[in-house]
Amino acid sequence: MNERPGAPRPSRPEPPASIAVIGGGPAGYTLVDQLRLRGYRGELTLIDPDGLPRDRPPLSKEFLRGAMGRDELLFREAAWFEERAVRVLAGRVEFLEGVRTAEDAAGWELFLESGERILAELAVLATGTEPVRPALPGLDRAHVLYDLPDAAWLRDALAPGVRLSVVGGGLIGAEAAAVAAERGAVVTLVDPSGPAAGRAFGAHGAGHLESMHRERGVNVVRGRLAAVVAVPSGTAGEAEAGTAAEGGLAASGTEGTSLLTLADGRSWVADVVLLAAGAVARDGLARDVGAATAPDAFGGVLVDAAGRSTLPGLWAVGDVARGTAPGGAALPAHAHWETAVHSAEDAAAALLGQPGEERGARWFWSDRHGEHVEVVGDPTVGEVVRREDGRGLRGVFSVATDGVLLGAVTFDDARLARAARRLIDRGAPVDVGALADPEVSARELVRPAR
Amino acid sequence: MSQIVDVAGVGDIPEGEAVVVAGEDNETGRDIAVFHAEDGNFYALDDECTHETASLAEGWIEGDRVECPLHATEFCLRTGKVLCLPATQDARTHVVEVADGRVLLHPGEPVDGAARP
Repeated sequence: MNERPGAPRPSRPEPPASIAVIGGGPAGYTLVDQLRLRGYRGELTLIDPDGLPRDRPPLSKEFLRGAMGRDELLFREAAWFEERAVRVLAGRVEFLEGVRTAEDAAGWELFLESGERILAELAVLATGTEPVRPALPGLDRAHVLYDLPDAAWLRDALAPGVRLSVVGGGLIGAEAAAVAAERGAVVTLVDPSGPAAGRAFGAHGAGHLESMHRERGVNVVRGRLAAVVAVPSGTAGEAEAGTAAEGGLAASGTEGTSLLTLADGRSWVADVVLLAAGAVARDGLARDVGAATAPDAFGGVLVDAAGRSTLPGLWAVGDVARGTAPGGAALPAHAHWETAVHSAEDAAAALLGQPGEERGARWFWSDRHGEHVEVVGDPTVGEVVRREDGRGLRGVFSVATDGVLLGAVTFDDARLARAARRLIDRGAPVDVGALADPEVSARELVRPAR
Repeated sequence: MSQIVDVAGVGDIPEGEAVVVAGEDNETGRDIAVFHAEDGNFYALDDECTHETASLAEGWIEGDRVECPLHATEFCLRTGKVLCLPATQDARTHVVEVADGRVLLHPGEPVDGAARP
């Protein structure tokens, strides 16, 4: 190169010689993909209990419905990783230890359950979340829907007539309830607090989702669960308790039935109890080595905009990472698919000294009773504007007093969600009449006024 | 080589919209979406997203991209290249020409330099 001696070199950080990514969900996969795409040539290892990285959202949707097989969850085949010199290990990391990886470099030693150890200059946690398990007698036996084996078990258990009780008002439980109803199960959804998932969809959107549940025969029960007791199948106890379900015979092959009792004394029997009371960050590896984590119930590794934790050489991406405000306080968690993917893209860019991207309004989706539900921005604030057409409710918009769009929930209307996203990013007052008018197409909503 | 399909008049597909030529009408056996992009040009891709069952014709068309209506994977209309997750497979392209005010689709004929899924 014809560089002038003494000319200042561009201040690009030297990328670490080796990177270990712990977790193979959307964030872990995106990170290794983006690192190689952006030219990283160092050693790259990805470790996940399931081995090859898999997508997660279908576990409570298409996979549970039986519309998607387990191989379709894979982002890529093994050969793709081999071609890019990404080492994929099936295993569970039990703990990390800070070490010297070379004379002038510090790093981490990863200790796997199998006894294997891996050295890396930089470790990235992409361990996601894990289900909350409230301390209630009997709930420790309940099933959860978190990983592939959970989803495979539940898919096989959801035969017509099976009595399923979903405990908790979270997104995954609501999706599972919808799939179960579609498959002919007799579904009870116990939601302690109010229209399920109000924080994610806003009160109006959540109320509509709950009415969809009821229309499709999901028995939504408001109340606080007091106990879950195992009942041997076919005993007098089961007969006395009775069931809200018609024809609710226990399917063969279930692990016995459970008697659920609310604080107000109501009780019923279920063949399958699915605990879906929300999730918390799986941040134990970071806590153990002293990285700062969010002090609230969700937790999460506190990171800067790029994904750096408070410890050198330890980063976090995806649901386990928790962004920080300028003062250092944790930002509200937004544990959704696209946010996780974006965080991994931003981390890959920062690790290689490349600029990150501007991100606009956030987005996530859910599938309910055959409808594709999308949320952009913040649907919990502002005034509600509804958009309905001959098919029913299409959109619920949250509009600020100055007319700026803050958030939206759309029902089976992809273009409306995309239009709302662009209007939110634009930050200019919107025509509320046009938002509410189904005759004005989504595309016309974003067209500049003439 | 399949028969050329006369899809529509140039003015019949507004910018930012797409129409579907059904598989039985185009001899490839797969539905093909013909897009009128914001650059004024017409492009064609297999209509079904390479990720799951969704019609790209119902997606959001902006610049030279279409965004899948289900999970927001973006495809390049010119090359069929997949630009972001969750899809990882490129989409099949088909040549479209405009002649005498008509939009003509060449089913099964990939665009030069396009991604080869």
